[in-house]
Amino acid sequence: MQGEDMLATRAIEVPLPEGVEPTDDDVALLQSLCGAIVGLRYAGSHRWEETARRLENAGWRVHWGLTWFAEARRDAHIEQAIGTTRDDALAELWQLTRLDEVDGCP
Amino acid sequence: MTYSAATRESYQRELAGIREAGLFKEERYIHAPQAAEIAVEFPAGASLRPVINLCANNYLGLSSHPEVVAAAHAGLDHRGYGMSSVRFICGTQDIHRELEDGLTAFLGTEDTLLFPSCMDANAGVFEAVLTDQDVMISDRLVHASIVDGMRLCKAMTDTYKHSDMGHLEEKLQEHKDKRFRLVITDGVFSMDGDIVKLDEIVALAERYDAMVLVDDSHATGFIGKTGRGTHEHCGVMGKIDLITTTLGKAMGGASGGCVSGRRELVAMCRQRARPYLFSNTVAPVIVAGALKVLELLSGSTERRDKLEWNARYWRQGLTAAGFDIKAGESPIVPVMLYNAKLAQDVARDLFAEGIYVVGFFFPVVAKGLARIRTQLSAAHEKQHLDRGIEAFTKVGKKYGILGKTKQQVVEQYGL
Repeated sequence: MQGEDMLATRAIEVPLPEGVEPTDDDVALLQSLCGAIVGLRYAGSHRWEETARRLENAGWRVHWGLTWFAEARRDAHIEQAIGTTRDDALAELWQLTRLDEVDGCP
Repeated sequence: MTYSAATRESYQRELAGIREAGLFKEERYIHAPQAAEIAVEFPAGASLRPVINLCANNYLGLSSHPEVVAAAHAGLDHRGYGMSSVRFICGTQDIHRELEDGLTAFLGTEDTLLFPSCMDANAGVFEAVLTDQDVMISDRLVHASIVDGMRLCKAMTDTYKHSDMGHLEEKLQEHKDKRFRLVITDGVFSMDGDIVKLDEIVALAERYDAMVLVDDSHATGFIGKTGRGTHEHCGVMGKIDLITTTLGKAMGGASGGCVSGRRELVAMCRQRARPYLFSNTVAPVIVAGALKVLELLSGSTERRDKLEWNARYWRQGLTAAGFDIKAGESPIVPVMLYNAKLAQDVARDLFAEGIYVVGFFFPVVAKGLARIRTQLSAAHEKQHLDRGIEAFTKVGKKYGILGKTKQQVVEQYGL
């Protein structure tokens, strides 16, 4: 079923200014944006609406949005950070790795 | 079956990996009270070996002090064994408050709250006093429990290079827009034994309207002229907003810790710190022992003075023998060996010579900075230190490292 869905993929052509070559970053950004649109509009069961409503009924003020995510892995050690900009996410990730610069000793 | 053969094998592989990496931690069984001389079973099943203990946090030699032990016995008789409750339900005795008041007076603060350990104090304090509008700025070599506590807090995390005041100032400038700034540091850093520049940190904190937290676990009881801690040593008593410290090292060495500091901040911990709210506190028997420790320390500086002498003598002895040690004043004296295998080999040979020390290497310390951490105690007599220096010298000769620079050791053994 998934394969048939994939076959229905449509292409969008975006004319670029003369002489502009998209970088790997540009492509990664476009993929992420398109993936987010597909996820929001067509994937899942819209359970998020019910979840948000339940949270609000329980007294939470709920906010959601798209954000940058950064992850660093070294062996079994994983650090993850989010940020409103890529700089913010990476800066937070850097600080989290600095916390465990050494493993400490009692 | 929930714990399948595949699950078991997976964990076994992981444990084997830890062992292969040389990071497997093995316990050594001590068949005696904690003291300068102990009998150790290692490896498990081996006959007992009498050794001089140079790796305990028993800085003041109070772990088995007869008066502390007697006070603990009396506490057991008069206040029982356990509380079977958290503090705010029915787990607080009069002596808990008495100990908190005693610590407040000893540390020169406004109020104190006991925790089951300093690990718990550090796990709870940040979340209790900060929100997502605030920032925590910590030295990069703080204790693991501070790291865990910071991770549990929603405030922004930032760090400064170890003891680099210029870098700390940059960070304070960078975070001027935050509601509160909290500078976080150890008082004495456990792996290097260096003492925090607390006077400079306080000056920066005053300039940039920041609060200061010091974990004085490796200082309380013996650093400073009367053993109050690094705030006394650096001349900033009364200017530290939060002190976390332990009863599990110099202060009798059993267990327990506390947050001590500004009245409102301690009150916030009493309302919100989860390790305080959801765990029993220090057992009555330990509270009774700790009260005796405070009484002993408040009456005399003899033990911290002896520790200071011991640390100086030990540093001089190892330096004269040709060892490369981290300079400093604290009773934590790291003997630098740089190579991880060398550190383990030297520690093993010293154990055979009757000296109990442990080698530390990455990830406990940075790569290429492997060492043996020695720790002095007021329980050590000069003869213990002389025997220790003699054994170190013998083993140092065997490995050809005496009088060698870091570069020469690295050339010989690699990093």
